[in-house]
This record gives sequence, C-alpha cells and structure tokens, in this order.
Amino acid sequence: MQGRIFDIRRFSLHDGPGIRTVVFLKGCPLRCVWCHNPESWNGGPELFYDAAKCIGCGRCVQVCPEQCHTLINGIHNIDRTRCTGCGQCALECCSQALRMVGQTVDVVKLMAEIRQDRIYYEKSGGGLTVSGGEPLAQPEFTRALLQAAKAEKIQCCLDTSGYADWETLASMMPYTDIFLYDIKETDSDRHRQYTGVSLEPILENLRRLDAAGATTIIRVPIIPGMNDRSEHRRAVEAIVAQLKHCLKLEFLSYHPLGKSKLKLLGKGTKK
Amino acid sequence: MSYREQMNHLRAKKSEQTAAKLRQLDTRNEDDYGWVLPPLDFKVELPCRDQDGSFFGSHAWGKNFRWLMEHHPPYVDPEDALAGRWMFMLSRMRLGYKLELANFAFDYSNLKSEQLKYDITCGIGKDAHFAPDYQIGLDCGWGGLLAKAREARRKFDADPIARELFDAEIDAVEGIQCWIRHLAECAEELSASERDPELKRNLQEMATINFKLIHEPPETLREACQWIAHFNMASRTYNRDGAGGQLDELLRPYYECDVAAKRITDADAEFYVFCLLLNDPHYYQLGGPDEDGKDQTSRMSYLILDAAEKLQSSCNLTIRVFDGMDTGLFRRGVEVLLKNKLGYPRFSGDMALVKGFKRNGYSAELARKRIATGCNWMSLPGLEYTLNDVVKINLAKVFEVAWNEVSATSAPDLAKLWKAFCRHFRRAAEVTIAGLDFHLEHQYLNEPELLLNLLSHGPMEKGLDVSHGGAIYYNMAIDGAGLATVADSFAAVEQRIEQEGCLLWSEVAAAIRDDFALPEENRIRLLLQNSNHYCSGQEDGNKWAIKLTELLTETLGGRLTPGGRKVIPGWFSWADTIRFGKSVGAMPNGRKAGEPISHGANPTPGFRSDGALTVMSTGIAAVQPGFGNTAPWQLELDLGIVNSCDCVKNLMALMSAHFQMGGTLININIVDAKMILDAHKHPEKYPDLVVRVTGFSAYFTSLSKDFRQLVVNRLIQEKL
Repeated sequence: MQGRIFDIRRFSLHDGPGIRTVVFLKGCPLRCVWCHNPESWNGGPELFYDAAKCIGCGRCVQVCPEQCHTLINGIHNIDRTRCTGCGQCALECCSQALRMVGQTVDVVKLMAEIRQDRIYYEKSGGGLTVSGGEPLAQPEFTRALLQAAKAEKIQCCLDTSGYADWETLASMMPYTDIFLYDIKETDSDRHRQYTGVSLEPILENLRRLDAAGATTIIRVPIIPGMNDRSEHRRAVEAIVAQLKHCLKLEFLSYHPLGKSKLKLLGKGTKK
Repeated sequence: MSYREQMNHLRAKKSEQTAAKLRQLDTRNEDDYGWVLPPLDFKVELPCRDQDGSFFGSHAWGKNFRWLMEHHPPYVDPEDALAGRWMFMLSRMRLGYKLELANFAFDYSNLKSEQLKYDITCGIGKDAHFAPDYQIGLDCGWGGLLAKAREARRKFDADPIARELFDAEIDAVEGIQCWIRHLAECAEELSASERDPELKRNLQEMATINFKLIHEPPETLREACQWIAHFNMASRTYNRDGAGGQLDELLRPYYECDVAAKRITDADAEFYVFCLLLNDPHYYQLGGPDEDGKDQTSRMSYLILDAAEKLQSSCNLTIRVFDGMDTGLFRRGVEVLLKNKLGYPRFSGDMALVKGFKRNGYSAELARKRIATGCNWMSLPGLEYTLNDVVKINLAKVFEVAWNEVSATSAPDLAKLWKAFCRHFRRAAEVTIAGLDFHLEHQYLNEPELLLNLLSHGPMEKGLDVSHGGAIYYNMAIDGAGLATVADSFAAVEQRIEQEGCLLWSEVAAAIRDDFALPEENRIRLLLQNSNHYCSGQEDGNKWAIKLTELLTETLGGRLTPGGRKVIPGWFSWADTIRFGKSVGAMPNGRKAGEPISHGANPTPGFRSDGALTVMSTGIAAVQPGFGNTAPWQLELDLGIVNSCDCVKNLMALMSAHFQMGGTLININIVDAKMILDAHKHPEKYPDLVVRVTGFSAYFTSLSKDFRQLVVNRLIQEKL
C-alpha cells in the first residue's frame, strides 16, 4: 500500500503522549488561514524553493524538461505554471535549495523507519502519530499504516480534523489508541470562514466517536485575533465536558511557520 | 542571617571573582575550577628552578609546593562554612608551559615527527587524570598521612629514589598543614573583630575545625566537607587535579552520625555541601551500584542534589543510571537539570561501563567501583593510573595523510583510501602507545604525583610513584577524535564519487586543495556536504562511523603496551576540536580548512532537519568502543523541548533507552537559543551564564569566541 507524505518527524514530544514518530500525510480538505503546514494542502508533489540556499549553478535550468527554470543575470526564476512535479531539478540541486515535497512511500518502507525508535516508544509510552494534512484524505493508506503499527504493538495516535465520512473515521478505530481531534472554531460561521468547511460534521463525528468508546485528546489551536475569544474557549470546554472518553483538552499556541513555507512554495498569500 | 542569604552572598561573590579573573586573564576555555586571584602584591618566589626556569623531580616539586602552601594567602569568608580558596597552579609555573603540550625533562624527539604527522596529543608529561580515594584521607587525616609518609621514608631508606619521593611527600603534607594553620588563624582573627554574633560563632567554629584538621581526621559532616575541600584546593594548587569520588557515600556516615547525635539539621547539611560544591567544581558521582550491585543512593545523595540546585554555578555531578537504581534520584537529577539549565547533573550508563570494563579481564565487582570522577571519564578511586582524557589521536589528520597519499596515485579509489587510512591509523596508534610507555618510564622523575600518591593504594606501600608502578592497575586511555568528520568524509566519497559518479576524484581533490575557494568548487562542496552521513537516520548512515569504531577497538581494545600496560579506547575530543581542526585542511565532507572537527561521538551539527534526538542517541550508542571508557553524547536541548508536556519523563526515557543500547555518558545543556545567540554577541550581558562545554562546565563569558561559536553550532532547535 502506497501513500503520499510530506514529512517524517522523529522524537516528537508534542503530538500525543511520550516520544513519538509523526508521519505527515499530504492533502487536506481544510484551508485554515493560520495553517503552519500549507505544503500539506495539495495532495500531489510540490516544489519548495529556498532562494537563500541557491548558489546559481544552473543545473536545474539544464535538466528541467519543461523549461520552468531560468537564470538571468544571476536571478533564478521558476515558472510554476509549467511545473509537472517531475522532481528532476531537485535531484540535481546540490545546495538543496530545490526540494520536492510529497514523496510516495509504501507502508513497509515507512514501518522500517518507524520501528527504529521502538525502544524510545516503550520507555516513554509513546509511539506513532499519523498526522497531516488530513490523514483521512488518504484513508486506505492511513488505515494500512495504523494497522501495520498496531500489529507490531506500537501505540498509535491519529491526528485529525474529523472532517471525513463517519464510516472512514470509524474504520480507523480498531487501530487507533488515541484520536488527537482538532477543534478549530466553535462558531459555525467563523469555522467556515477560517477553514473553508462546515463545523457540524466535525462535531457530529466527535460525538459518535465518543459514543463508540474511542479515546480522544481534544486539541484547539488558539490564533491571536481569530479564535482567541473566551466564549470560544468556554464552548470548547462545554463540548469536552460532554465527552466520556476524552483524556485531556490541549490549547495549542500559534506559530507563524506557515508564512515562510508559503514563500518556499512560491505563494505570497494564503488561499 | 539565613542560609538562603548566605548562599546568595556566596554566589554573588563568586560571580564577582569570576568577572575579576576574566578582566585580568581574558578568556580561558577551561573549567571554572573555583580558584580566585591572589592579592596584587603577592610574588611567587619558588626555591627550586633550573636555569631555564622550569623544574622537575620529586625534590623540586616538594620544595616548591611546600613554599607555595606556606606562603599561600589565607582566604576566609565569614559567611562560608568552609575556609580557603586556591590561587596558584604549580604545574603551570614552569617556563614554557602549554596546556596541550606538557613540559617534559626527557628527550622523545624520536617520536615527535610522527606525533606531528598524525596530530597526536601524546600525554607525555601530563599529570593527574586519575582518581584519588578520599576515604584514605578522611580516615587518616593530614597527621595520619604524614605518619604514613614518614613510615614509607623509613621503610625505603635504602632506595635513593624512594627516599627523595617520600621527603617530597613530607614536604607536601607539612606545607598543606601550614596553610591550614594559616586558615585557622585567619578565621580566629576575623572572629575576634566580627560584631555579628552568628558570623562570629561561624568563624570560631571554622577556626576550631581548621586547627583540628591540621592533624586529626574529620568526625562531623562539616569537618569532612572541609577536609575534602582542603585536599581539592591543595591538589589543584599542585597540578590542577580535579578528580572527585562517590560523594554521597563519602559523606553519608558523617551525616548519619551528626543527625543521630542531633548535631545538625538537613538545612545545615545542605549548606555545608553547597559550600563544598561552590569551593571547587570537582567531578563527583551520585548513586549507582556498590561493588555488590546494591544501590548506593541515600538521603545524602538527595541533599547533594538539593545543594547543587541552589548552587547555580559551575558544577560537575554525575548520576549513575542502572536497572536497580532508585529512579527517584534519576528523576530529581533531571528536574534539577531542567530547572537550573546549567548543564548539571550529567548521567552515566552503568550497564555498558561495567560490561565494557570487564572485557579488559576485570571482575564485575571491580567494574562497578569504576565511577565518574572526571570530565568524560571513569576511574577506580585510589587503585588505577590512567592518563584519562589527555591522550588523543586526531583522526581527521590521519585521514588527511591517507587522502593525500591516495590522491597522488594514478587510480585513486575508496578501497585504497580505506586501506591507507587503516594503515596510517594503526601506525598512529603504535606511536601513541610508544609515547605511553615513555611517559610511564620517566614521569616519576619529571613530575611525581605527590598529592594523588597520598590518596592512592600502593605508592606508600610499594615505595613508588603512582605513575611508576605505585598503582594497582594501569589502564591507559587513548581517545580517537573527529569521528563524524572522518565518517562523513568516507561516506561522501563513497556516495558522490563511487556510487553516483557525479563527482570525479580529481575534481574533489583539487577542490580540497583549494579549500573550496573557487565558485565552481562551492557546488562540489555542497554536494559532498549534503550526502548521506552519520546520524542521518537513512539506511547505512552510520556505516562508516561503525567501521571506524571497529578499527579503533580492533587496534586498541584489549591491547597491552610493549611495557605491559593495558590500553582502553574511547571517542572523546574534549575541547580540542578547535585546536585539532586548525591543523587539518579541507575534507571531503565539505568541512573547510581550519574549521573545528566534530565533537566526541556526536554527529556533525545539522545532521537532520528535525534534529531527532532518538536518531542521534541510537547512532552514538552504536559507536561505543565498549571497553569501559566513554564515547559521550553531548546534547544541547532547546527550551521548546524543555517546555513540552512530560519533559522529565520523556528525557528519562530517552536517556534510559540510550544506556540500554550501550551508551556510556550524557552531557546535557539546556539552552534558550535566543539567549545563547545574544550571549555570543554580548557575553558581558550574561556574567552568570554557565554552559557545559564538553564534560566540564564553564562560565560562557570565560570562553573565547571560537569556543562560544562551538556551543552555538551544536544547538538543536525544535522547529515546531
């Protein structure tokens, strides 16, 4: 089983209990305006370009079959409309100024890396966290990965926005120890405004997940000037109070990493 | 005045003294050591000097040390529990002294050309770097040690060398006793004029204790702390020796006795230990198994950690982590480390240390007694002579020799390079071993260990200096330095030249000769730099580091010198990464000429974009030489990790896993990246910032710009 990921982060202490390996899947139906992983939105491969690392060697100009790259008077430009995501330029880039984000991996290979930190999971009560993007946007791959980890008795967390069919979400339950469930906003209009999708199916899925006995950690990003309102916090607390299997509620602070990543993707502003 | 106020006063005073040292002497790149500046008008007039300004031999060392102690300005602070601070280092008073190259009165020019060729820090003429058994001194007192020296003098009267040695030992002890008398008199004099009744009583008690300790062994906790401080200061004054011992077990009987007699409270005990730790940052171990495997953790272990938490200065405690330990001590140690963010305590891994030391043919009981008493090193207190941490082979230099040789041939390739490297490394090892034997043959005539002899089992009984057959065991340390630099160089050649063929050997060789100076050579450098490497987490990333470790252990592990002394290999560069780097040109890992080589067993900074500590931990555990000496993990943790949920538990898990996989020692800095970067630019704004440079901790302000940069480069910053 193959899927597309944009990062693997080992020794993560922020995405579930203990020491964890986090696999970030590419593709997300939400467009949160504060998203710190905008490279996760598009499900396909994308080109990162870091101008500060470019030494102007011109290898990318030579190898690009679509002539996306130009180097004029030492200035490197990319015509992203022509880019097919073949990745030839990134392979040739010695300074790693060009990098393809979104590699296709199979579960067996991924498990080989995840397994390497087993001793740390065991000592700390940690394990694997599948995150994104939205992992439920690649349901078969996510399920296969969780299933493979579970088979090796590695504790599994699924970090999700909850925006998916109930059947898809429910199919993850046998292989997921803890759902790290995000609530971005509790006001319906604002939720649509900030994320591009409606709130109701997310809350309904959460209710059903809890009713089915799934353990959750509710995670709420607090974004200055957007959802840092006391009524939002109270509303979240009220939702959590209704849950029977919620381990804890985590308010997450905002970090502006997304802005620099948008620049690397050649996007000046968020969609 | 409360203990809290006294501690604040003592800390502030140490801060002032550190600033004064910096003003007078500039940056030092060494441990803090706890010494203070002598009065400006004090003149050192050693009685024994050769025409060239140096001195050697037992007689000269004994007389000079005696003069120094008899004339040593007394230092008494009415708010301290202990009297004294040390001010001089006799070993550095010889003309031509250099930290990296010790004075030596005997010619070894036959070895020098190859020592230079491979950039070997040979250890010839180096002193200390093995551990005393404080118990001998605590049991005997200075009077008892003097009696032992006199008895040995009588016993070996027929042996002129032993006679000279024990005359010098008598000079040393009598010099120390004179200095302690001066301390006692100073405290007595100050008490006479002191108006504050509590300080007056403190000074009187200090005077009484010091008068007593001139001859008698200590009986109370405060006396034991004072005795240890006396020895430490005297031993520092002699030759910088900073080795410590199992401090909790050394102090426990006195503490228990005082408590049973209702003489002291825990607050008193904590204050005495605070003063001992402030007096000098010697290397002490806490916890760990006794020789039968039973946990040594006691109430005293916790009190020492409590005192260390309040110290907030340079400190070198190590907690020994093992399966049967009181995990509360481990937890408490991590809490102090995270709270103070001053690089202490450190943590050592019992399992691999014991298993490794046994491979040299020793019992598990003896291996458990080999404890953390130095910068990166373990030693058997009072039983062993080692030259720990002062004998090193610069592997980057060995690589350079092999690279140049192979590059000059008509068809250079990786196999030839590895073969040449192995041959040159083995030759470098032979030259180093020859240096060890030469040192052991002559050092007693050059610089006898007058202070450490007193607390060793053997010299008094055998009539021999500890460096010359007086010790029970000889386990001579040889460390390799530059592991990651060399491993990554091999890996880059393998990937870019041999496997991918995207670079030619000739163009890499030319770029290295040019130090990657030409614009097109920058591309070559980046390709080399971005190839697979040690601790990348990729398949085969650790392959070359493991191969180098196998070479090190095959060549040195279990080896005897021609003189019959055991050799123990390790990976440790100490703070020599800068000096070693300066002697090596550009390397195929993209390192430019003169840049520092890699540190200890650590990967090159920037080894992974996520800085995954699990990958680093697994990599370092895989390159342990495994003979009882260390390949330490120097770990810089950013506040992002420290502030994460369950950080104590997760750090304990990380370290336990590292030790379970074979790790031996972990040195940790907790750093606020923003603050350390600012401190690098403006060190004067952070006079009290203490960092763990390698095995030792130091004030950031006391480090040169190069060294500060080294610490900054190692920072691991969480990106999210």
